[in-house]
Amino acid sequence: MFGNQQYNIINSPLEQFEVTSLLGLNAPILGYLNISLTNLALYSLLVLFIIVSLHYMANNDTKLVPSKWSIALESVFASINSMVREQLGKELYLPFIYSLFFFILIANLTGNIPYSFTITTSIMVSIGLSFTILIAVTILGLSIHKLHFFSYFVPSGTPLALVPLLVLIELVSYLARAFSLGIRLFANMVAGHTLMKILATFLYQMFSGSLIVAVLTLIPFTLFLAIMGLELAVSFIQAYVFVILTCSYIKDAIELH
Amino acid sequence: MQPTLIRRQLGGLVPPKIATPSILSSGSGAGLGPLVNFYSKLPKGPAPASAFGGIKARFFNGKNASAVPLLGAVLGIFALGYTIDYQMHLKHHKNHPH
Repeated sequence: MFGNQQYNIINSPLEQFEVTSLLGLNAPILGYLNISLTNLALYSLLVLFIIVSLHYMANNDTKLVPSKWSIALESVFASINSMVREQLGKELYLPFIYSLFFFILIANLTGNIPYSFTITTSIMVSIGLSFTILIAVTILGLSIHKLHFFSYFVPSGTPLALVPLLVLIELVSYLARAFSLGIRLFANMVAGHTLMKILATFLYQMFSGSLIVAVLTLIPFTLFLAIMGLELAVSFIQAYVFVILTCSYIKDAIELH
Repeated sequence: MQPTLIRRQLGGLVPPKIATPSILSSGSGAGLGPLVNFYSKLPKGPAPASAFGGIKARFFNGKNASAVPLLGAVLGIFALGYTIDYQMHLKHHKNHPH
């Protein structure tokens, strides 16, 4: 009787973002030490593995004519290189920016595969990245300019009476970057994946109805495919935006406006 | 100047002793015996490819470059995600879908 009952509870589309433990070690003897492999950790390791193996596999082995994989990788490198050169004028921060770009890009792209987990939809990852970057950039600015770094918070030509107010405003806007950078990435990925989940649930319901409805559902399904393409584009765009803003923050710390 | 320093600076001028007249004139080549012995035992032919290197040669290098590894990665990640989802969640809804 219980089995025949229809359950009409629809899964929350936000359930996919839940971080759950897959494998855990709980040691009450060590003060309830808990070490567990969560889906977040697993997919982080997967992203690391994909990035490293991609770069190993697409390596050209010092041959004169590159393979198509090698060309693809080189063109990505060239575009990031030109971006860093334009913004910062030197290549000192290129390795950091390049690895950041690949980390976010591969994390976003693996998240687009059905049933997988997107690590950038975890606020710990995206806000953690942006906070780390802001703290690093502040340390960079302080180490280059010493106490002159604080002139960053006083725009040139400010009347003395307005200085306390403007310093406060500038400080808030400076600190807001730490959040805005991470939340931009997080919100875009969460919104996209939530939309996909909701649409996929509807499509599943319609496809599993009668045959005529299922055939007619092919029309919204093409739209769904288009939205999937859009999500792929968003994966690239968000990685690019994150990296280009990081560049401009580093530039601000080096040049102080 | 110390003797070692002198020797080091002359090292670029004086060639090392590979074949001395005494070894060459003996005719038997006995002095080179251990060397010949060592090299003749080394494996011949091109280096064998490892499993990882085999994939690289087959799907990535030169004209073999294809999108197959990309497809494989997508399918692999899909299988991993489905397995996790099935074990954690889906199997509890097998007989009573919602």
